[in-house]
Amino acid sequence: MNTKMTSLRWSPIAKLATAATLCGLAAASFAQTATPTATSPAQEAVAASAQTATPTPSDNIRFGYAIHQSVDFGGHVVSQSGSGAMYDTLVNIKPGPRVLDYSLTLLAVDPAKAHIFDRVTTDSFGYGGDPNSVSTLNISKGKLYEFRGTFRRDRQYSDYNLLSNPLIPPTSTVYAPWLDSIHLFNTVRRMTDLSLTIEPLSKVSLRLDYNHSIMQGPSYSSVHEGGDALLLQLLRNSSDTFSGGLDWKVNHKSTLSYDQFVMHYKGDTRWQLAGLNYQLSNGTPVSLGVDLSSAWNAPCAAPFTPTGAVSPTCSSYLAYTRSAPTRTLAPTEQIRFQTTSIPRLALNGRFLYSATTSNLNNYNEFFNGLVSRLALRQSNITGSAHIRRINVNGDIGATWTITPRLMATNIYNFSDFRMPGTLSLLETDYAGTNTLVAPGAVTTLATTDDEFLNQKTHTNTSMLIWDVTSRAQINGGFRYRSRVINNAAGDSIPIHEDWGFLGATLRPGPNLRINFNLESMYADNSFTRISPRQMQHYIVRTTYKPRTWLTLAGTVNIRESRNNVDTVNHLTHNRDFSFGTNIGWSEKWSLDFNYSYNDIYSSTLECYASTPAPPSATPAPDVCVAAGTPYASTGFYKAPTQFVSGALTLKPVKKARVNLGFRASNTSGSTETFNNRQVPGSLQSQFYTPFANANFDIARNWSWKGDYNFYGYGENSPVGPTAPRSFHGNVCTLAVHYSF
Amino acid sequence: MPTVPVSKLPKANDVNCQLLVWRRTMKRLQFLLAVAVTLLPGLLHSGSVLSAQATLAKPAVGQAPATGFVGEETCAQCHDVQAKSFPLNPHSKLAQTHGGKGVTCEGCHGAGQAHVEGGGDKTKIFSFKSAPAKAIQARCLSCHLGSHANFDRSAHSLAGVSCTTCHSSHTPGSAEHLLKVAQPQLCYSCHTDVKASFSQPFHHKVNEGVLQCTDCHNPHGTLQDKLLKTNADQNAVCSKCHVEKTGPFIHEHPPIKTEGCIACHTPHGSSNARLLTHNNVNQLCLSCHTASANFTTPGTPSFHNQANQYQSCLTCHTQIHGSNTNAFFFN
Repeated sequence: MNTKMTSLRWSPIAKLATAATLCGLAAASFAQTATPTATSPAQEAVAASAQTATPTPSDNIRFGYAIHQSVDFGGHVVSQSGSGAMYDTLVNIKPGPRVLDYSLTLLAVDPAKAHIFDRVTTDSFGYGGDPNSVSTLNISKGKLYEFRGTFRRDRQYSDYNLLSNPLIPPTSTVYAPWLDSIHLFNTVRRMTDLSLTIEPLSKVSLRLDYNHSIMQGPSYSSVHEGGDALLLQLLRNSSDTFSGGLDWKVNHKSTLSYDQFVMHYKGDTRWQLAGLNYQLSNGTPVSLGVDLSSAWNAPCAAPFTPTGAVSPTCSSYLAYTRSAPTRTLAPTEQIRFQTTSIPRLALNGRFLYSATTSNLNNYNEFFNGLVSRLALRQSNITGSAHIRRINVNGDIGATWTITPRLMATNIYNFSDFRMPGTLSLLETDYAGTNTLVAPGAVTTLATTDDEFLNQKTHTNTSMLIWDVTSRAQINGGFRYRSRVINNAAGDSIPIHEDWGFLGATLRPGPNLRINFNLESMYADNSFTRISPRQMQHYIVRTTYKPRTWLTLAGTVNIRESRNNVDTVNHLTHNRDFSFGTNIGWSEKWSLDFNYSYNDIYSSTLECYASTPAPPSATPAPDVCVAAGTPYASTGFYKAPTQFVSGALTLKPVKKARVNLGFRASNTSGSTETFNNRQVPGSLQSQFYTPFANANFDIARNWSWKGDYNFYGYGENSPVGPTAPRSFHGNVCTLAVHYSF
Repeated sequence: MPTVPVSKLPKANDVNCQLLVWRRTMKRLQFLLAVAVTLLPGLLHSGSVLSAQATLAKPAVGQAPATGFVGEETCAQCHDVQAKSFPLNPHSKLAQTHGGKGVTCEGCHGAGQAHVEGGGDKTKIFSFKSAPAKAIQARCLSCHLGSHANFDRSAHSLAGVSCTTCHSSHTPGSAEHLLKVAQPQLCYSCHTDVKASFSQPFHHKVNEGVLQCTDCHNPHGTLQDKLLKTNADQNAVCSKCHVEKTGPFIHEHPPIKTEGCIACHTPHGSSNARLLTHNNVNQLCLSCHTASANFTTPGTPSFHNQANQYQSCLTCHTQIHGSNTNAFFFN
């Protein structure tokens, strides 16, 4: 083993590693500005950076490994104005020092002499306080094993205050509007993925995988009893998935695989009362709920006494807790095969059986307060639930090369899931009509419930693919799908779908590719009102690279669907037109530009009750009137959305690089309004983020980075009875990069 | 089938019977032997991916004859850049076999003798730059078919997207999987509409580097539509992260299981919070929960006065993805 230490030098490898790191950070920071299309001269260096050269004696070699590391130290300077809640929802970058990026590569100088591993790479970003942090670790030893590990941490702050907001009318004599969302989230999801493949190239290889996902943190929720109380929702959900698999390469034309998955889920979320903002006359804290309004007589006509205390006969909450510890175990077995042993015929398939068991053994819900409508003073619900999900899947695909230019494929999919469940609850109720009086007479009620939801699906897709010439291919096919959905209510809903496919791929020249695809579907039934009975989906994609430095790409993506049966009249379309271009004339500059227009539209006949009726309401069909919902609207929703981005990258001298650009999306839509306090909100919004960054090599192994991002969000509609949602944010990131 | 009288059936101690049994046994043995001899070459040939590589190295139609291999040293004399970087290429693991004489340049490009003797004539060797997509696909899949069994039926294959459209064996832009450019930029290069979606105010964090396109899609094809992956228990891929919404529940919100999450959400990005298809939750709910002649889905009740506090159905129906205790998804 070579233990010779070599002094730190600015070797070609270090340069390349640095470049790779810079590119990595640039990609993370300015992901939307990078140019993905095939390499242009300006990108040759970028592309080459990922292909590290063979270790040379001049490298930093220790213990037989060439070691390359780089680290980016720095921090954010942040200023923000406007809605802090929306800034945190959409950006959430806070000021402070950070380890912005770290990478390490260990390469065995002589792989034959490396015992445990001959290659290790790791990369991390976002540590020290950023909302997202990610680490990857890859280790391999020749043909012996490959290990991949990923850790991802994602902080999710969500406070879009129009979501789940009761929109308290200002005319209420007690005006207590909800300025934030009553379903605010501030959670963190951590995901760990580990994957080990032993002897990946041998006749028999073993795969071992593990995934751990946990989401936890405080959030708010609500519960409906007499009123709607605000709850503190202490989220904690996690899952562990273990999987092991064997691949047996029977011969060079056939592989047989077996996989065993075991997923274990733990749901430990708890709920407790929040918003105890008022008091009874005896000083006891009490919650009147989130929809306190005299205009609605909610939660009662006179919630307060003349002294300002909460009326003891008004529906209110003194205490509420709920816990529903849930454990789910989902073992799954899967057998797969793939073979080309039969001449001209490629076959592959899979059979999967999964039997999930979910248990809720100790459900406990406690309410103390008053539901005046039911004269309920206190209640306690305990019980258990037992649910299964049995899933059987079978898939087989075949590709028959009829002639060198004609190919036929067929895929058959079978899926059958059944989800039976049994619930057993014991409810103990205490009567009462006054919160100042202790709970009274006790009644108990035991209930059981058996539910199920089943769906069996058969799908067969056949296609013919014909290479008309070396520059043109057309394909066409047919799909038949049948579904039967059953539930405990006695519904048995059969749905038969017929699909047609047509596609063409043209390559008029070596640098131009045009694809066209059409999917058309007709169904004789639908499960929901917004599930399509007719659908057409057209896609045209093209990429054109007339010069090595110029790339053009465009997409037309149109999806139209309908469920135009009586009393539904559902219609929707997404018509998306987009293009992107990259000009990389030389290593000194490149330009990237993208534009997209998406016309989103839907309408569905909707019936409802409303007093007063909105101006757009029309008399509802008889079936709606009979259901007590006398008004109807078309339920139209229009959301034309535009997106534009551009980026200019300059590299005037070898040691400097500057990037300037912007991104902006704009939605200018309209929709049916049922409630006169409802505002379009995000339906008329803009989100724009101009940016600039610079990178200078300041000394050997050292470079300086500066990055500025402006974030702006605005809405063109009135704010509504909530807090404003517009904000501006300036995020300046300064860092030094050191490679060694 | 004609019946045989019992008296005519051969007895066990009958010599003719013994001969008959012997002949039948021998016929079976001969059949089994023939089957074994037929299968033996295949069984002996079965080795590993290396054997597939050996097959690959055989010249394709129009290529140099199989005997015309020149070895990697010869290739390196002109293609020194590729040769120097090759030891760090994952394909080099194959080269390290057989005492360092395993498959190298000619394993993928075919025998190079004619190319060398032609003074570097590009037409006399398989060039991934100029070959049609189908030919490139055939070359790569001769080894990688085991892990990409669905590729030839995938939307990418049908669109003429070949392996080298996304991967570069010699000059990758990303260390991961020899991609030309790292995700998501690579995907955005064709899917310009998806790039716009992920730039909406509310989006899955793909641009931020937390998620990748391949977390949900398998670009090499799956047995599902849209190249979608599935979870370990064959649930929608969304359930890998959003596991708490997977259930199973006593009271399911059925469309989630039958129609999928996209009935209410746009997965890539949206101008609406929580990636909802509508800016107003009530309108989204009403689109299904309206009394209709053709559906059993319950309509909104008459006491849900839309002008009053029922601005958001989710204020009460908080457990909208499913509940174990309440049929109305209250808790």
